Amino acid sequence: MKIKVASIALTMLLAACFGGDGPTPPVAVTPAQQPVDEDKTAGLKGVDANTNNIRDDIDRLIATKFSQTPDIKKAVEQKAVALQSFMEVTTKEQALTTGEQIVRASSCVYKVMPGPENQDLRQAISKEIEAATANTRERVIAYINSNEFVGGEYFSQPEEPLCN
Amino acid sequence: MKTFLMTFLLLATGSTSTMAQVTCTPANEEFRIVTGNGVFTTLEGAADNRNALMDALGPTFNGQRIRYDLAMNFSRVAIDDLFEVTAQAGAELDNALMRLLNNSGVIPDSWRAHQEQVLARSYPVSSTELAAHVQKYQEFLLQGQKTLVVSHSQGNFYANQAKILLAAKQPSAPMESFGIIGVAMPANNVGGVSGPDADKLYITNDRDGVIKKIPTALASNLALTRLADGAMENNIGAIEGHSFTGTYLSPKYNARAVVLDKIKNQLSLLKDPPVVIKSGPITVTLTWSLTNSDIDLHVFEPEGTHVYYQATTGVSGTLDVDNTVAFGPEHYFTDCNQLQVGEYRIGVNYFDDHDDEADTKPARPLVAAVTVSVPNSTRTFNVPLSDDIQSAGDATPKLVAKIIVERTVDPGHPNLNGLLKYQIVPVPL
Repeated sequence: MKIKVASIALTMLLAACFGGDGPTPPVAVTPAQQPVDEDKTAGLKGVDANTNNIRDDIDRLIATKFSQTPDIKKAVEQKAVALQSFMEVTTKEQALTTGEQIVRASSCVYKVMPGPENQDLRQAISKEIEAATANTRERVIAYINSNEFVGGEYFSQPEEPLCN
Repeated sequence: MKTFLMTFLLLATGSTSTMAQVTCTPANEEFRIVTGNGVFTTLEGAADNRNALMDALGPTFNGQRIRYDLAMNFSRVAIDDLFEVTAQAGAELDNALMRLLNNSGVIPDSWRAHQEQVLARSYPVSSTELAAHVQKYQEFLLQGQKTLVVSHSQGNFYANQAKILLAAKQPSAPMESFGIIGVAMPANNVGGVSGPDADKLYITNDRDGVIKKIPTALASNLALTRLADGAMENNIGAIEGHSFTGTYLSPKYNARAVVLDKIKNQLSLLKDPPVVIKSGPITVTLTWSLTNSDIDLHVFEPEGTHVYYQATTGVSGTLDVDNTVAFGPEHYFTDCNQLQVGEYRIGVNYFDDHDDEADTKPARPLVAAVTVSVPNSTRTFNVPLSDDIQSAGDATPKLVAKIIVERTVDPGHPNLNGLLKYQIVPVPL
């Protein structure tokens, strides 16, 4: 059963964005910020030659952009492993367990890089690793399905140790 | 404040003793802040929001520790709306979509229009999704813990609805100990408060282009300015202006201080609720949906001790609340000093429908909610019950879950080796 929020009216269309005449033009996606040598092979796992549970192209992304210190690199790797595992789940319980690792990995990043001065870097890590993980149609759909499993769930503040 | 770190010996029969560390602060000596996410926010994004708030606000307030949790909502309908819009526009679902969803990379203007359009829609609040959140809020309040929900965008609809359900829940919750702060508020009220009185309960900046498109939303109440030069921020996109971490908590803007001040103000106004149930490394709370009835919580500890209404003290823990009248709660918690390694089994028994003491007709069916919490993890199980069997069910209650407590053996991660790990395992009903 869904509870409608009756107090909110809908704002549906932004006609000004498209004008009034002619077909909607296709969305052009600019690949400017996609990783070099990106792995878009079929399947969720991709190529992981060193079997560290991180796709090799994401390993390269981490090595080039998010390895300012060994602790930062480790924290970002922990996040990458958690996101990959989460994307691959097939049951709600798996999603909850791996979801807890996502929450823990996020906390590790903040522990390693605290303070407002690190906000831009933390944001870049979160968004870039997530986008790189779910970088094909198949992976996006799997990732969204995993997120749907945890809708309505509750995640407690993780206890120490936060970092692997 | 009595925060302390305890190191204790585990009482595992036949095994060598080992050391573990658990932070044991009574719940009523802590605040609880729960973040609620907006639409299109994945668990990764929601976790980042939670941590950004914790990083900004800090671990304590007025000398009391704050625990920060996350109540997740996820609107698949919103994502499907975006997928449909994308398909109509001819774009491919690939790397671009994830970047478009989490606002990383270059975002085409035409895509922004789609996203604003979808973001401004109203998506139904799922009562199923709300149930686990409300159960936790009730548990915290019963533990004597002041609780504040800080919600973003769509999360505010959930927070508002949760407050309504919480106020109606039995056993009744002390609502003066529960509060909401809305960030990027799309609703016309904050927890039932509207008009000028709502101003101290929400923040919507004037560059938040998503909220601007909702005509019934509370009006923006903050002119967004840059801290570097004090100037109004006019060069921020509509969606960027809506971002919890990117704008509302950004150290670049004045909004951050306003958000934190309003949160602190609300925390200072929350009243201390009475302690009804205690807290520990393991807690199990049972409530149910029926008046004039008795449902029993049963816990079998690792060495076989059966904790229930007739034997309320076990080796590890205690049944500190036994409700025989209506709705619950019944509650079990483990003592920090007595925690055992091993398997705990959690069960429930429908003892009696008091509407029919003579057992002349079938018992009224009900749903029992069992919330099991351990460090790092919590689960709520809904158990339908239909037959009151009194003490005949004591020895074999309906099992709901197991909790497995064991020592970590992980040579690859030495800092984890030897520490306790907890696992909640559902038992198929």
